Amino acid sequence: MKKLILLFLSIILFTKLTKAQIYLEPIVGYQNGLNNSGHFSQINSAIQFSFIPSRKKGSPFSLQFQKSWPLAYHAVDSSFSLNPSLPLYSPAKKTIKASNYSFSVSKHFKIYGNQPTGTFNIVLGVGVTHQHILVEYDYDKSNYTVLNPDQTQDITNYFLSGGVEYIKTLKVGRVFAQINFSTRGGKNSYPTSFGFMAPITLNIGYSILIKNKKK
Amino acid sequence: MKKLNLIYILCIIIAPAFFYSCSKNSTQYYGDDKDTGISIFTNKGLNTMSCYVNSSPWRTIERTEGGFYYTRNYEVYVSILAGQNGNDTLQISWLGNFANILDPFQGSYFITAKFTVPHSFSYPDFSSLQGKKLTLDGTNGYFSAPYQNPYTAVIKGTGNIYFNRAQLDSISLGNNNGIIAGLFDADISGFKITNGRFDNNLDGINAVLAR
Repeated sequence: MKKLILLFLSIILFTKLTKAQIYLEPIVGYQNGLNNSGHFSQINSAIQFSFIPSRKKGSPFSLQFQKSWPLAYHAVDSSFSLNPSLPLYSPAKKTIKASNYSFSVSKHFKIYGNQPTGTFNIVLGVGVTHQHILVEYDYDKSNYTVLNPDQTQDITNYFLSGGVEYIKTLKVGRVFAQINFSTRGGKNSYPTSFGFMAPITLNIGYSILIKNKKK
Repeated sequence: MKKLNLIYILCIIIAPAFFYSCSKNSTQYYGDDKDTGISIFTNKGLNTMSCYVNSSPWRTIERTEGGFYYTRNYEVYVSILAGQNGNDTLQISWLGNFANILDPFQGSYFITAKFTVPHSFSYPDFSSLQGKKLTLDGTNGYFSAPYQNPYTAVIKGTGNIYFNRAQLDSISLGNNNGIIAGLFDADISGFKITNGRFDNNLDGINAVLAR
């Protein structure tokens, strides 16, 4: 928490010093881990700082902090009992909740359009992500044993992302929508039935101008 | 000349280290969150068996191959002993020790499951164990442990065993291929075995159904 506050203060200090135009952008969205057959879904909430350089030829870049909230995935694993008076097999209900934090830096390259009608950009980014995949079982633990059980997994790793965004300037502020693909968070060292997420992200946001360009 | 001698000496010193380091460990151990100190229950051929013996975690040795003298160490053996009255004994023995003993070869011993089988029992019959939950009650079979010689039945006990996977194919002479995976528990005169789970690959060395 202290590191996050320090980072925030550094960004605020940076915004004061830079000549760039700066937007503060709250973002909401949805993402899904493509590499797990679409089982892991999340609701995104993020804060992004976009910096538009004062030079004509400079391309914008952004800093984004995102927290993704899990949507539970329910499945069933097999459990077995040695107790002669009980059935051999019983289903073990499994709930998986995949959540993550990420911090990324992205560059935005205009490919089409002009304001105020709207522009399309390619967005390329690099960042750090921490994924927490929580696994919980509901079954008769005193009499049954789960076969090939999943376990809660955590990982912190670098990632690359790429995508497209559309930005439209309004009378006050601007709105934008992004679709992004990110590389996988890392490799499991435990034989789970799932892998760390390589999400496809759909985000929408609103830009609040907090600092105009210095001339 | 002196340089050449130095190179020869270095080669002689380094070569044993090279051969010693070329060893392969075929055991994969993953701890169980719920039953601490023993492995998870799997059926993927991870070459491990673990259980609680009188509430203390017990694990098999690691399956290794190679080293300077090239040795093979197995954690499980499957064999068949000829008997009398038309019945033989199918024997599955796991070699290991308590998990808190650092050197698994200090005082390792066998936990063995023995099954009474007909004299005609062969490789296809082994595979018919798959999916079966059996109670070894002393007449159709029994458990024995701890004992350092699997071929001498001294301490007998009863128990239950479930084969989630049981497969043993004889491809050619000395070339077998198979797997066993499942659960077991046993009560053997002074040794109470609980939460036993096994997952072992079988080959032509550690699984031979020959009398």
